Amino acid sequence: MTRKRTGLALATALVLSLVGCGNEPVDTTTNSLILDAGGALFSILKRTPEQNFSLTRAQLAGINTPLLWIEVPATESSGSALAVAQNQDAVTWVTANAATLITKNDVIFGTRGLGPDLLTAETEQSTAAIQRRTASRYPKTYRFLDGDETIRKERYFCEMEIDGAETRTILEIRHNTTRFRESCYALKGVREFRNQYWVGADGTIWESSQWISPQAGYLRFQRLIR
Amino acid sequence: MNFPPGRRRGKLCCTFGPLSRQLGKCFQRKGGSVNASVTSKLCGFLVGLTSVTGVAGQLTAQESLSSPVPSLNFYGMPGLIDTPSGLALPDGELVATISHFAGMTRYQFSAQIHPRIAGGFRYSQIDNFNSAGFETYYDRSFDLRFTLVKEGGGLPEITLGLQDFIGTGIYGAEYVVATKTLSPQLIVSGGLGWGRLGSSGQFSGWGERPRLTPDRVAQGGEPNLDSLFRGDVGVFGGIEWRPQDNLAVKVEYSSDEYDLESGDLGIFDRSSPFNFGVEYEPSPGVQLGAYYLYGSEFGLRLTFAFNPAEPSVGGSLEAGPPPILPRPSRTVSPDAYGTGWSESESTKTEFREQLATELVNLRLEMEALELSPQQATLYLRNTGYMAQAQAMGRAARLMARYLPSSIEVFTIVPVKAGLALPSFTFSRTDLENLEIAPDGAEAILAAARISENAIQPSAGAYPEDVYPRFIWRLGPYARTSLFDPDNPFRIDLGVELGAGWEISRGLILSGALRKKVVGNLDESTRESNSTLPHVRSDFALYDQNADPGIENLTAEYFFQPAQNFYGRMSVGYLEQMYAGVSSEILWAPYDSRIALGAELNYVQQRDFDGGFGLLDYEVVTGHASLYYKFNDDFYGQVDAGQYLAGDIGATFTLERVFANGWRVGAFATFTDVSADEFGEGSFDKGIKLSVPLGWFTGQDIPSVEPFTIRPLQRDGGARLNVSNRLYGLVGDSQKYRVEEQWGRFWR
Repeated sequence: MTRKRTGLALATALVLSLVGCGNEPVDTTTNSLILDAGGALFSILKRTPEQNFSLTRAQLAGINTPLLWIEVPATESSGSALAVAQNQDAVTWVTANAATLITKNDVIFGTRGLGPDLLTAETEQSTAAIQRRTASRYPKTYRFLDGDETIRKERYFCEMEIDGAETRTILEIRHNTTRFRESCYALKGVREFRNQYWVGADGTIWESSQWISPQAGYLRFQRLIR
Repeated sequence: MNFPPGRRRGKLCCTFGPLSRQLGKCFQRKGGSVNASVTSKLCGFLVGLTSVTGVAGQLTAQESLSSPVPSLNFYGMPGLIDTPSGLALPDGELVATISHFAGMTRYQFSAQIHPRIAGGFRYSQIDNFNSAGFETYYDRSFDLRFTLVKEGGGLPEITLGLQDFIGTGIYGAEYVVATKTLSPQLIVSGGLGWGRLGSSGQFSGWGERPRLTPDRVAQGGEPNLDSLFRGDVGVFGGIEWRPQDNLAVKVEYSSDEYDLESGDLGIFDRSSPFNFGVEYEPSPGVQLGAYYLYGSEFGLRLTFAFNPAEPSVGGSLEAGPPPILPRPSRTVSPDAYGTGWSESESTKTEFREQLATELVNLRLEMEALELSPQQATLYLRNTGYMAQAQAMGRAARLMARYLPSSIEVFTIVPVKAGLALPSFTFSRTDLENLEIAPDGAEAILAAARISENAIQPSAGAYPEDVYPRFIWRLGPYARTSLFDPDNPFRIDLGVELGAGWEISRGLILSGALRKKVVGNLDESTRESNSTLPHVRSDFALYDQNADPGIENLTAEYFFQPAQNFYGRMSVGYLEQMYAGVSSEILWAPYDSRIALGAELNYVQQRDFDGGFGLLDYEVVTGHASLYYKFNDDFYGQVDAGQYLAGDIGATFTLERVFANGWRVGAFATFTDVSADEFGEGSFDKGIKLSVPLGWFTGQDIPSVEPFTIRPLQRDGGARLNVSNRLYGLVGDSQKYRVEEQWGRFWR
């Protein structure tokens, strides 16, 4: 009986070790899924301790590319993101695990790779209100990709108001900012959310909390390096 | 630190995986003075934004996007305990249920394939049957439910159901049941039943219905369609009380007398028509229940319900696409738009090879690239993505990044097995603008020009290593055999070595060798008692002897005789049991609900040992096929012709194909083989299920082979199992399919 079990274990090990062998440039089999699942299982079993990472301003010395610190409270995840591309007024930021965030004048336009992503959001009115520094009201449409691949549009009515001056400390640097509050109400249904923007005198948004999707909730970012 | 899901072999760069190259190039393009130490500094401290998983579980009741799943019964359908209710499952819902009491276990799979139509398949096991030659009795049955009236405006939800309507009939019943949700806490049901649900006989109905006895069960019956709604009528009903969202208490009056099990066989003692139960829903979609049935037995039920349209990961966890870098302004740098590059073949080759390498990083392959001063045509193999739109969108991004600025028009031709499928043409300016437009996906589809004119690339347009190309792959395989009364679930696990030689466009030599590592398929001692030629029923002999065995060894040629026509020729050892020649032609215009095909094969049965030997049996088989796309996600198919046993007839298939890759369908074949000749089961039928594994993990894995479940494998209505049938290659590139997944273009 033990022999049979050992044989079975060896055989299974052999089979699993052969997963992923081949010379195709792109793997079209389910081998990758098996490897991913095995890797995930392995890391759970290995129980690597949480990396308690603390960033200091000194570590950023000498870096000139725009850098964000991103948090998604609903999932307790956070990380930094680097600006990698600009297309007209849209900037694409990339995180260490290749999720991307697209912002237009620091108002979130879309996300990719978070899971419950924001496909697109209309940002022109929000940007105009912040730049003109006036209270205003306008419609805002958010688009999401459904589980069945349809584009779901959610229309909101938003109101931008100025809350007042506030000092924010972002990684040891203090910024004098004006806090803007964008309150949005769904045209259909009961959903509502509040976005907040802390805007510097020159129009840079140093810190912000913006709603991105029903499941992910809010995304907060801080501008570490302009 | 979470490394990105790079599946490019051997490439685990820094932290970004596929995007690391883009990052490096980006710095250079911007002309910034970023030196190596800074880059490594950046790489060093960039902390992973861990992927968002399990967010769905944090939805509040207000935020919930899914409709609640009604509780199910012991038959795997919406119901109380042992009787059905009138409620329908949410559209598209798939449910797996296991229930057990008194030594009777039912394994069932149900699907709400349409808002008003649900189907189910059941595999039951009755212990201590001890009659008609069976110690333990196994049974397979199918159910169908039609919701006639939807709840609302004071009306209850009324459903008509057919239970076990084409099996041996052991659970055969028909019913009409109405359910009213009086309040979120109180649901009331009442209905009339025939057959098993009519056995309490409150009313005598019309017509005759033969009584179910152990001997009738042993004969294996015929489709009992002519006894539907005949015989005595019973009344059943009950109440479901939900003190809170995830808790339910049920009381029911069951009209099922269990004459066979309780009366004739004495498996248990039915002493009361009342059933009681308590149910708990630990998480959405999971139902657990404990019951006291018929005054004498305890029972349990476990259900998993999920909806393909609502993945639990909430969306794709794949790395984001490379952003488009717009071209410099024409007024600022007019030189960038020069066309001098197109005069040099070597420069063109450089661009071609570079784009080919970048495509592989995104799990796409270049078949060919035609370059001219203002236009580029990419022949693209979508090897990595389930949605063609996503493959094209990502390819377009790379083209916009790496091709010279003078090229204004991009055409992307999807290619499968050398077949050039309908192409999409975009303007580069549109791509640059619409990437960042809120309605970008809809707008780029409207701006795209689609052409069915399949122009093949010129000889010089192929990158270096496309043809001829030799590939091999080694991986695990699993083969199952279900529903043998001796052992209902058998499985073999082993290794498969596959190799292929793509000689030129459309010409492929390939083969696969399988070696079993562990399994029990060879334990089957069942011999085929079929009176027809043993075209499929000797599967046990193949399982026992073909170890190792040549799974297939073929030469295939794919061609396009005319616009919208596709052709295939396959020669060799085509599948596990047959070798020969297979030819097929398909007419499938891009923008049409209909496709027509014809197939003609000449095959000889292979020897059981999986080698090169052949048996004596030869046959000509062939079919004419009609493919039809109904509204929403429904596809129908009719294949008429001659089957492997020489029988003539037709197969009808109805399938629901979700945009995210899930497919659920059912098929039935009717031929001139009589029910007696066919044997147990009377005619060939089954269900098809395709599960996109990427749906569970958030990673994209291109299509998975559909899993076919047949209650019985007999010899009537058997088709050749040749690979790469044309509709499977071409179907995903047709208008409805491409457009329903178009939301992925900018993903």
